[in-house]
Amino acid sequence: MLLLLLALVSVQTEQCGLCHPEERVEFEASIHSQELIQCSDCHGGNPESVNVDDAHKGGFRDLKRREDIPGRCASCHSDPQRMRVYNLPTDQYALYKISHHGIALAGGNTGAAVCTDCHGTHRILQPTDPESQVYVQNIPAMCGKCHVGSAEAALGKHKSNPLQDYLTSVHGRELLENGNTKAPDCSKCHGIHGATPPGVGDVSRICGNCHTAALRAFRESPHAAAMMEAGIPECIACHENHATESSDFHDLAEICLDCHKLDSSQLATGKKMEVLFSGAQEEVDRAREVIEEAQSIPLFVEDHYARLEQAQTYLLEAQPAVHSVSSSEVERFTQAARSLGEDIEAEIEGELAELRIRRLGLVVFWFYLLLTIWILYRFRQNALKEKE
Amino acid sequence: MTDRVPEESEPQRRTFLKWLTRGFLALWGIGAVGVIASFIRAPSMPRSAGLNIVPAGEANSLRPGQARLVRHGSSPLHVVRLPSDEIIAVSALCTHFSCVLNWQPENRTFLCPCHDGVFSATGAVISGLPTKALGTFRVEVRRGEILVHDSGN
Amino acid sequence: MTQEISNQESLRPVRNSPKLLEWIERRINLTEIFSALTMFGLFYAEVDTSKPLAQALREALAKPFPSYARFPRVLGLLVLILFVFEVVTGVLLAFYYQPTPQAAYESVLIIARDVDFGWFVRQVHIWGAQLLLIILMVRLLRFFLQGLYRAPRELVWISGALLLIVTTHLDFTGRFLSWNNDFYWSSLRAMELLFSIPLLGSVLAFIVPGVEAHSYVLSRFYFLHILILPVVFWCLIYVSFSGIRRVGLSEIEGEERRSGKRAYLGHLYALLILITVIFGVVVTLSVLRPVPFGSPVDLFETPDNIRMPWYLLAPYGFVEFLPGWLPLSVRSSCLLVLLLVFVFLPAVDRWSPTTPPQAVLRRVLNLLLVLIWIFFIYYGAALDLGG
Repeated sequence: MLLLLLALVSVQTEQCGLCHPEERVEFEASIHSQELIQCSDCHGGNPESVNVDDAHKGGFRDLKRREDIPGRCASCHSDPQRMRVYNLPTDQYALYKISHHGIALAGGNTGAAVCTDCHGTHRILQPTDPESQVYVQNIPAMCGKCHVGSAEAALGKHKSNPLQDYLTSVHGRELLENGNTKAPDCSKCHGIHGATPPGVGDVSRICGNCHTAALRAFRESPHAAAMMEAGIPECIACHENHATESSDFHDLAEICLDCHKLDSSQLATGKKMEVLFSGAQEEVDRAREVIEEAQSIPLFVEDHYARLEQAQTYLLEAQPAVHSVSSSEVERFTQAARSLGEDIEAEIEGELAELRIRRLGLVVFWFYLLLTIWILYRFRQNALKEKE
Repeated sequence: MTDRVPEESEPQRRTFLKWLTRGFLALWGIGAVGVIASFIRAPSMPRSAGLNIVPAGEANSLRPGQARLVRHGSSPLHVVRLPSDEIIAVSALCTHFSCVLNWQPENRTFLCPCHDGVFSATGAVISGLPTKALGTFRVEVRRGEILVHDSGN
Repeated sequence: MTQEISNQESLRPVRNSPKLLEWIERRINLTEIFSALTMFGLFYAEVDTSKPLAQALREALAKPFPSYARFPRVLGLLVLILFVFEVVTGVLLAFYYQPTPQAAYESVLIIARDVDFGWFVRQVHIWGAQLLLIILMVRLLRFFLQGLYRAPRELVWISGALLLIVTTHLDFTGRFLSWNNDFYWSSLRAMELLFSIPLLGSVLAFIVPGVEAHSYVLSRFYFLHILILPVVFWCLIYVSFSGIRRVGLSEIEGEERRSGKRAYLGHLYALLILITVIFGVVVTLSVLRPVPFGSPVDLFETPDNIRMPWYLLAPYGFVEFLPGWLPLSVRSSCLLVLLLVFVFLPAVDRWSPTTPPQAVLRRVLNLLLVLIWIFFIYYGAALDLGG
């Protein structure tokens, strides 16, 4: 019954599904099937035959050997003529060959990832389909199928579990919990088909794809040349690679200690930047409190709120400026934030003086009140006394 | 009070005190009238409750290709005059991290100083990290003054 | 200063000649007007409206009357005085307030911020209302403890109890009008409690069509607050004072009663002093402890710490005190029963003490009931603060 159904359902006169129903059903859901690709386009053979021997003739490839897969996929996906109509790139195979996965596979490691490990075998969906394994939010889990530390350990690399680290990071939380699809997944930093951990001079360029201001500041700093020479991987030296967290000014000087001595001038600069920022942050926080206090009176604070937003912007700009390791650069922004905060405070202080005036008025009022009561009391005494 | 004072000055003194007292007590009435009157006199600030109209300066001083930042509470606005002479108003806060955007007159875009997000003059995202376009507001020019209708809270 | 009063018998040292009075009295019953005006607490003796004003007053003042501007009788007068404050400030506020959800908050903001003395009028209005509630409660407490609700004073008690209920509604609708987030959500919480009362609650829920913020609720509350409830309040005050006029003021031991217009003048001055003092209290509270301005209503986010209005703490405490396995409607019915007992206390409580030991027992019992009420307030407050 199922076979009849399948036979009726299949648009083409392919009979592969008679013996391979599961694969057939999976394939029906894929983008390949939608584009009218047939089983034989990858596997060869004779799709119209119902006889096993006949079907498996004529250049049939079972593609059970993993090393065969990339080349097979590339037979279409590296063909510019074929891919032109879909507007798909054709460099995947070339990139794969220079990627760590490709190099490992070429070196005989059949456990290395091939096309089907990431894209699936028959049920291949477009990367924009949320059910696809390569949909941006599904990528960390997919890479994490292998990259949980064992692969790295086997290669003698870092001992941590990249997936776990990534899931705790701010990038992971942004992508997976907040749904921000602009947040980086594994492929944004490591590359997609050319997946490779970035080298020493490339780290800053990759992080700088989004963190533009930080990169600009970093390039101007003495760190850029020094780290290149010393082979230190730039951004990762201070920020974790996978378990990246939002940075906090309060620990700034501690991080400098990783490389610099306690009494060095560099550490002094680090401390100075920390002080500048926390001072400015405190000022802005104070200004916010003062505004809220005034709001409750209430006073007109709309202008002040807008300026608070500007001060907040300056503080946000000060953060990437840290990478220039120049306190004067940081000071440009922190000073702007501070002076806005101070302006706000000064203006509202003046308006809060109104409250004090009210209290003074109350004292005067009470004098008047008591005097009035006394007078009325005397009137009353007179009225009662003059009774006959 | 009636016994200690000599006879001649007594009526005078009493009259004086009487009027002083009456004046003193009359201050209550005057004060009340004054307070109520100044209360009833409508305030001079041209704010109308519930209409959420933000004044954004003169229309003539905003030339094509210029933008003006209007500080309006915690949701500042940019008022832009497009080359077509139309005036539009967009939110001045970047949809990524709420940094205040800067207008770039050379290429008529908004640039966010925090992560280099770029928005078009009409608020669409051109490049960078922001995913949402800027909110827009209705603009009216009344008697030469630009008024923005802020429908948000 | 008041010696140049001539022999005329008018109430105040006015300069009107008798001719003017005669002229008026030929055209309208001045005594009746006077009686109506002073019905609200200025004058507690009965005035014979068939006689001309001067004569009627002479007769009324000839009998010794007690001084009613002295504690604890003064509580009734205070209610009236505070109500007048509320009406005056309320009218002033109504000059600027706009009762639509879009404009309500901002109109109050304009009052408090841009209008001269707007903050003052608003604070006096709010503090006056709270004081009014407290004084109404203290007055009822006094009546209860001193047994002043028995025949023939039942109407005084019932009108007093209803006054308290009406005033809580006034406060409740009033705080809703400010469209302030804290007040709005606390009103909702109060409505939850009130609507759960079986019959009364359904009636109330019918009048208030849902608790969402469309303008119906605001408009209805507005009209209730500025017209309907104040009129009801006014009528209840009338009943209260008119009843006291008939049954006489309560006795205070060892009190000296005077007669004559001088004595009455003394009372008027005492009244003026009282007004001045209470005004001073309200102004002091307004300046030193201004009621803060919250944020506008945010319909999409329920704040964490919604507090019950303070005057509903005892009913709330009572309802929560009853065992939780009883459904809410049953517990609210108990509240309703309690409420009815409270209002119609004279009908329920028929036991009049006849002997001194009985009187003492009676007082102890009353005191005990008051303590239980205080316990419920405390219980409700603890629950409320706890979360």
